[in-house]
Amino acid sequence: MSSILLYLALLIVGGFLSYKGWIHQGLSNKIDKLQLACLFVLLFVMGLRIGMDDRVLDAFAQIGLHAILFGIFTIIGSVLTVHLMLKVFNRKAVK
Amino acid sequence: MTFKIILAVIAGTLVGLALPDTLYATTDTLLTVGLCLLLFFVGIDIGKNKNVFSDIKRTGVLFFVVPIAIAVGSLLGAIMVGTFLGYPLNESGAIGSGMGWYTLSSIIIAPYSSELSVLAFLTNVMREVFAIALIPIIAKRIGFIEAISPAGATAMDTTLPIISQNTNSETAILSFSTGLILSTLVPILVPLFLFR
Repeated sequence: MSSILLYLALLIVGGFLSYKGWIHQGLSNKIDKLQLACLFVLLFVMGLRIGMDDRVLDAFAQIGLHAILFGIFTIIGSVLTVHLMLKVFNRKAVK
Repeated sequence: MTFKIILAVIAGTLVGLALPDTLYATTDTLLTVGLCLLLFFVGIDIGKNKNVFSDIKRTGVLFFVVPIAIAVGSLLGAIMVGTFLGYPLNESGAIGSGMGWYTLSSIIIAPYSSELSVLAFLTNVMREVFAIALIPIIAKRIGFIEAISPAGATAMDTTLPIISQNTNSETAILSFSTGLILSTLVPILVPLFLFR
């Protein structure tokens, strides 16, 4: 629970400082690269954990199949819900 | 980009195979510190767009309705298929809460379970791939606003160009704000399901 608040707080603090223009221009200009660097380090560490965990490697094919099913159903669910919500709010369909 | 991301994970996995299991706890700390930095940087990036508030005003009530509907729908879909496949409710919910942001959701889940983390990663990669393929079709056959749904959190970055090409400028703005709200929800919802 505390991690959620920490992540959210950092997101908001970052957004606020940057919106106010209080982030150093040099840092602000490099923000895309910094994000990418962080991301790749994190992905690599995530990979490390996968490699160290024997259960994951044993179940890889099964996990792949489940991932496809989860992917399809989250999409179907969200398209249907948005479609119904628009009907409730009586927005005519734009095409 | 997607290719490089997958490559980074595979490289990590190969190195991980050679490392002793005693280092597993160290990766926990690395993940937390890295995530804190990343979210701070993401915040800075969002705050750089000074038009963020005026853009949002133009979308009206849909500003709230569309992301909520997408979140609810994704969760329902994930819980439905998860129950069928035998996953506990909270794990299915965490997978569904990824909203297509495969990098962040899987990294947040990593301390909980590597197995679930891989599932979150692959599920949300699949979601992005399917979204890229389906957005043009949904925009044409169902409606512009519905075309934002498969994109989830990626509606503000990777799939935004596809949405704006296949819909109109009003939908593109709504797509951005929807992605923004869903992206903010990912680091809240995913841990909410797993860590109490």
